[in-house]
Amino acid sequence: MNLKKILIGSQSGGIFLALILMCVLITSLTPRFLTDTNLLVILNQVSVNAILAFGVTFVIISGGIDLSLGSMLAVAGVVAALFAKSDGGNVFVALLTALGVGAFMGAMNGFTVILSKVPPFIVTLGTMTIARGTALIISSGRPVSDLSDSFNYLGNGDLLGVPIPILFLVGTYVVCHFVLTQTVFGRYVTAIGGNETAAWVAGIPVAKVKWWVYTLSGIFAALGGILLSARINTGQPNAGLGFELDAIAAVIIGGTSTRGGKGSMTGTLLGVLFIGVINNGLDLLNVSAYWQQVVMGGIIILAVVLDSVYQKMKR
Amino acid sequence: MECRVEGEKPVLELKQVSIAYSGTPILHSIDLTLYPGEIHALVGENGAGKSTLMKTLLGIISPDQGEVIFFGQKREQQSLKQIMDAGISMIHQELMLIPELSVAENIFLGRENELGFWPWERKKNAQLQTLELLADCEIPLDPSTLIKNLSIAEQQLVEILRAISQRAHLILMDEPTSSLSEKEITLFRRLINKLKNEGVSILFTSHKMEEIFGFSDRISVLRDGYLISSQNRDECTEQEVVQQMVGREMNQFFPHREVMKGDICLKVKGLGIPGLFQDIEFELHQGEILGFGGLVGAGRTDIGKALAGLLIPQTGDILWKNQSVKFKSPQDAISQGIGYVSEDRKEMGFIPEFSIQNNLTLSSLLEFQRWGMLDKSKEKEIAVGHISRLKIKSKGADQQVMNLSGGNQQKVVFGRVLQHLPEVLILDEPTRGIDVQAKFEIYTLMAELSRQGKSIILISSDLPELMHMSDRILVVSKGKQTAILNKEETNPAEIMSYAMK
Repeated sequence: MNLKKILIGSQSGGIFLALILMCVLITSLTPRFLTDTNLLVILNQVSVNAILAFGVTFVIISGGIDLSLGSMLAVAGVVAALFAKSDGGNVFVALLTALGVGAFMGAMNGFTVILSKVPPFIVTLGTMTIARGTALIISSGRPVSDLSDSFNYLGNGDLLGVPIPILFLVGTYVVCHFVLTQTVFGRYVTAIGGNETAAWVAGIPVAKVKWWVYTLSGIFAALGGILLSARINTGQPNAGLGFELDAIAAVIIGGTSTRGGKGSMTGTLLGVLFIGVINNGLDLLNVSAYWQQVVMGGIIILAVVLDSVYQKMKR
Repeated sequence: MECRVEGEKPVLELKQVSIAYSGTPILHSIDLTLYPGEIHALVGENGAGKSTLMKTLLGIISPDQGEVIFFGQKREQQSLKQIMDAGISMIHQELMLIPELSVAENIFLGRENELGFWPWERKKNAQLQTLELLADCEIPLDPSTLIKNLSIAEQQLVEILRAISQRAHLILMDEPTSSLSEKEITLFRRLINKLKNEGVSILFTSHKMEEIFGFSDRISVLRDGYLISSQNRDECTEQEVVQQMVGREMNQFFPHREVMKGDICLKVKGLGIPGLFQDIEFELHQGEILGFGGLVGAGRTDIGKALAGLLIPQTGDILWKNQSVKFKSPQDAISQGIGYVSEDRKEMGFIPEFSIQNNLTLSSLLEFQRWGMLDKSKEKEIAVGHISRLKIKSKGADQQVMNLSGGNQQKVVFGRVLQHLPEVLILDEPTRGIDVQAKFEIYTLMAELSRQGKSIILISSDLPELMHMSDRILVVSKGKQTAILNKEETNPAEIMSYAMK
């Protein structure tokens, strides 16, 4: 509605501009980019990363970090698959159990961070390995397959032509954006990231809020795991390797400060799309998978540098 | 005191210096001259342009018009290293020491190559030269102590020592004594005199009249970017200076206050935390202002923190409205009606990136919740009310608090505390580092609050403030309560004698 306001007024203006430019660039290089089908493919592809990124946005805004996302995703994915077998499995039980497992793992992260006062980087680096091991243990190291059709539908079905994962993407974005900007919890999270001591002195239940932030991150990782398992129709104990880095990259590209205290879900969404569009573009242009990684890394750095230059110019 | 020889060359001259930031003029054609061995006080309210002027003197900012002449040479914009080599040192209000390094290492930071080639050689020399310096200035500190283990006041002294060891010709000090207690101010005075005798010029800013008139040879008043006056100390009075600063008549510094003591609301018995303070006993009445006096580091701040839930007392009892309470967190204390304004505004007072509005409502946010959502229009309404009532100078409720001056930041902290409707306010150095006008406004606010029946505990190192604002003064020395004195029956000397007991 008001393009100028989005570009100049908001924190996400820089990344929004970068995303548009990238789309224009790829469109000029290949006609296959700007089609309905391809755009839906992009959204579908980024949905898991988006959900992880929304969850970890809360963590990063609160001044923390969560490196265990990818591993928690694997555990939840395997758990969901185990409960959604085609012989006698139930999708709802599978969903609730997997989300519960994610919440439990996130809660343990939260407890450890709060009680031990060890930096979250270290704590979640530890739980990253623990969770990965757990995923391998409960699946005996083998993919869990033969899943029910209704579980498969979650990953591959559609509702009125819109793939289910995209609905989850939109739904989680709306909820997270609302929570961050319109609720007491969101304000508390931002305050803690801005100045944790002052937030505590001002009467904010800092420990409780931080615990919730990590728990939410676990729940979102589990949701990502469920969708991924449903899409590939197997519970893969090795799923989600390195996903935490993609999610964190998207959050940072989206303008959320790594020191906490500042950030937005819209920024994260744009960051996720930016990464997704580049991946898709490189695929369409037949760039080799090895080179894709090199180009991707370079573009991420460039995007963040440009954004910081842009933010300075605005001042 | 005037040791100026006719025709002596000035250390520094400002000629018609004007500066503007993005179109807004900050300084208007300032002329200022500093002679060797001169102690020059620069006074003015926050936002008057003092910091900008300091930065110009230092060479961090180049003037848009006019010139800065240092020892007869025009100065251009320079790096900090060049500035240091030129013989100018700056002591910032926010300390610039590295907490993990020792006193000696901090003093020689960035100049290690002067100490020799080998690391052990440097270490030994740093230690020796620091010892010499400490002995010379009669400051009882150990050169190998880590900065993080020193009190803020001691750290301030280390900053000053660093400037001395750099053999600076000109030292700029931004509020050098804001965190020093009376005893340390004596040490500070000795340092200043030593520097003066060596021909070093000092330009300092301060909000404390005692210091401005106690230390300086010359006083320059800055207001809204104009140099209002530059006079020898003997030629002006406190009243005049204050008037020049605020630009209007200010009849009295402290507002008149009628004492209306109500019932006892807070009773403290045998309160203690081993290693910090012990056996604190007092009663606080409604509408009373109880002062906490004593030297910096005597434990006053910790007592305040224990009453506000920031520290958990190990012994003794807090009786709040005749009921024993144990606060486990600031949240507990706030929910019981205890408000706390910390001495460490930056660290504990506000969220710098938050708007004024979001800071003001932070402690009472649950009240602004409706159907699980924040009622932002109600927040705005409340914020606008506080901004006008507390006279917070800002561009509006959406301005980030980090962009406000110290006095206005403090008012935001006050607003946040008042918004959760406390019955007792614990104010730790509420007027430190803020300008005269804001100080007066905060005193007025305190008087008004006590008239409404709210009780205040005022922790202050500023003796006149403590004497004028409190009804009674509880004096603490080395963690022990040494006296509770009635305002009418005591005097500064008596308070100091109990404080040093």
